[in-house]
Formats: sequence, structure tokens, C-alpha cells
Amino acid sequence: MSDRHAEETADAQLIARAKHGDAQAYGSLYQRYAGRIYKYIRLRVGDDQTAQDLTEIVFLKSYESLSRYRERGLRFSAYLYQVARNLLVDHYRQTNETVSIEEADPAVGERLSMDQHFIRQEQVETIKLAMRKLSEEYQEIIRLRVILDVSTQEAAEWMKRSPGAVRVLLHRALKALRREVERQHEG
Amino acid sequence: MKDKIDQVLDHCLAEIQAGKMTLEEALALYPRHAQELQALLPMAIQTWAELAPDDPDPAYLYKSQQRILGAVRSASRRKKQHTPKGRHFSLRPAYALVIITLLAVLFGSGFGVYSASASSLPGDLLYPVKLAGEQIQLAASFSTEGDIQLLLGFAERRLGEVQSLINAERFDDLDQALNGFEQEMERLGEYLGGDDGPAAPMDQLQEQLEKHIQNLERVREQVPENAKFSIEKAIERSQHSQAVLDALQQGQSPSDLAPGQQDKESDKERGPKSPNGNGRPDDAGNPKNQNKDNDKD
Repeated sequence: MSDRHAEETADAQLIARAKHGDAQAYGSLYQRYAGRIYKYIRLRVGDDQTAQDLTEIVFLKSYESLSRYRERGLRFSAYLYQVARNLLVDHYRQTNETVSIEEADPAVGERLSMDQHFIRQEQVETIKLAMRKLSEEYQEIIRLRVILDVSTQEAAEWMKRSPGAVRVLLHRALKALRREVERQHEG
Repeated sequence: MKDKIDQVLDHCLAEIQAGKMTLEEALALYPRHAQELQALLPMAIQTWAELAPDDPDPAYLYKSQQRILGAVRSASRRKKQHTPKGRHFSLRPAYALVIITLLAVLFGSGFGVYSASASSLPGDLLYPVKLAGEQIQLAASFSTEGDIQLLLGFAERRLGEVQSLINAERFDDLDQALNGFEQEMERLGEYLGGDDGPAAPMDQLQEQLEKHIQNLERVREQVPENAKFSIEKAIERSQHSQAVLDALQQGQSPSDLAPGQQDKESDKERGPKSPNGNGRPDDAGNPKNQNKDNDKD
């Protein structure tokens, strides 16, 4: 049995139990996916607190509509992703927020010398600026496949595309990012 | 053997992210694409390393999971509960879930979410939080008078939302606000028709209901044709509440005026289908409208 098949079978069993009011089953689904959904949302909003609130709402809303969820070959993670995306659209509409991880503080890495720090900071800023110039589709594939390390198969399901189309999209998006980075250097 | 660049790039990125390959190994493995990989992979790796968000705080994950488990258990319990008649009305499971969410937000981490919900409208993200806040207010009221005043206030709020939605030309969300208004009226009817009777001043209630109806009639003139039906339904509901109040003021029992009762009586008279063909009670079932009809005759 493949990992994917095992994962989907386990999810299907948990979902069936959760639909019948088994809180622990839904808790297990939360444990499986909360981290990934949080990181996706965190990438799209400006602060941890908002990301935490929205992640919790994703799981509450998903439970509310769980009775309408049918596997149909779609992973549960893809369902959560759709709920999260819709929620983010509402969130942006509500708050007019445009801040995203591209403007948030970068992750704190290893200790660097002052020079190294500035060089790295500059490179990161260039990538952030270049990212913002890309189409939403290119940004999304880079978020999923590159930044969040979502597998090609899963990204394909989340984005409702074939794995082949996702690979092509990733290639084009990275080339576009590269061009924008070069433009930033020239500018 | 992978030979297309998009396959090669995808494969190398996945292997590097999994720690199974280095950039140098990738370039050596695919010499035909080495130049393209050299141009794209280092930038991709840097983007991944620098922009990936931190994992969520484990303490948050634990607390959040507990809140969600509580909400699921509560919703499940409510589903199984028998619906009591009379003064207390049952909350739908989804509603209960929202209440728990609000409690979680209030006592958990995000008070801002709650306060931000005050100006939300149907269709907005925070609107369920606003409704849940109202449920908590209602639950915290210990007198029938208090409940009635709150319900009237909520009904007024729904009408305010209707107006705001019209101003914003969000006609698709009108139904939700009007359904909410009808629900408030329905609950009000339950209170007024309960064994403990009305406790708020009748004149004040009549006055507020009249104001509601006038507002609705004004709104009816402003909306597109397809939204008029919902507003007319809300007007009917308000008129029914007025009829309940009339009956009470005249010392009659309001139980005969309950909407369900009306439907049954009307159905007996007119057969299984309503004359208007839409399955809804028509004006004939409403004593208020019956009076109007008599006046016309």
C-alpha cells in the first residue's frame, strides 16, 4: 500500500467517525494538518496571532461543513486548503490587509557576521520584491512547492491541476522570479 | 530517466528539500540541464530557506485543539438533544459551534476578532462571531423582559444590516439578513405566546414592530425584483408578530396564531397546496391580513 493510499484511507476513516460526532477523530485530523494550514496562512498574513485565529476558524468551518465533504479522490488537505483560501479572501476584504510574509520578518537563522547579514538581507529583500511582481498563480506555486515544500502531487490536488501542469508552472514561475530578481539587480 | 527540464527541476528540488541530494549532485546528475538548474535551483533553495514560516507554537496548537474538540463535542451533544418547547429555543449545532468559537476567541487568544465583528454584515467572515455574541447576550439575560428587549434590538440590527447591504449593493447577501430578521421575529413570537406571557410594555413593542414594517416597506422599494420576495416574507412575519400582540392585548390566547397552526388550519380549508402554488402560507392565514381583506370587502 502506497503512503498516499494509506494516508487517504486513514483520513477517510477519521472523517467518517468525525461526521458521527467523534471529537477525537476530528482532533486527529487537526493534529495531522494544523501545522501545514497554519504555515500556509502565516505566509499570507502579517502576524502570528492572525494566522492562529484564522487557522482555528478553518478547522471550525471545515467541521461545520464536514457533512458535505465527499472524498471524490480529493485529499482532506486539499479541502482544508480551499477553506483556508476562501477565508483569506474574506480576511483581505475585511481588513484590506496586503501585508504578507514577503513583508514580515524573515526567519531567524544561524548567527552571521554583520556583512554577511546585510548581504543576505539584501538578497532576501530582492526575492521578496521580485515575488510581488509575479502573477498570483506563479506566487502560489512558489509558496506551495518551494516555500512550504508541498509535494507535487499534493500541490496539484490543492490547485486542481495535473502534476504535469504543476511541474510546468513551477518551472515557468521560477524563471519569471529569476528574471524579476535580475531586474531588481539592474534597477 | 527524466529528461524534460520541468521534470528534472521538480525532481531535484524535491530531493534537495528532502535532504537526499545536494545542488552539486543535481548538476552532475543532469549535465544537459546543468545551466538551467544552476540558474534556478540556488534561488529556489534560498527562497525556501529564508521565507518558510516557523512551525506554529506547540502551546497554541494544544490549546486550539482543545477548543476545537470542545466545539465538536458540544455540537454533537446539541444534535442529540431534544428540542424543548416554550420559552427556551434550541440552538442549531452550527450555531452552538459558533458560540463555542466565540468563547474560545474571547477567552483564548483573539479578543480583537470579537470586537472587529461588531460592524460585520451577512456574508462577512466575522458575521457568525457577531451572531454568536448576541446568543451569549441572550443566554446571559435572566428575565423574559430582558430577552424580549434583546430580541427586538437584534431584529432592529438585522434591518440595519439590510440597509447597509442595500447601500453596498450586496443584494446576494440580503437573504441572510432577512432570514435572521425572521428568526428574531419567530423567537419573539415564542416568547409572546409562552405560558408566562408578555412582560414588556405592549405599546412599546407595537411601536417598534410598526417601525420595522415601515423600514421593510421602504427597503422593498429599493431592491431589485428578485430580492422583493424575501422582504415581503419578512413583512408578513412582522405582521404576524403584530397579530400576536393584538391578540394578547385583547386578552385572547395567541396560540391560535402560531405560524404552524395557521398553516394547518389553512391547509384544511384549501387542501394540500396553498392557492399561490408556492407551498407557503398565503395572506389568508394571517389574522392581520384577514382583517385587511374584510376591510376591503
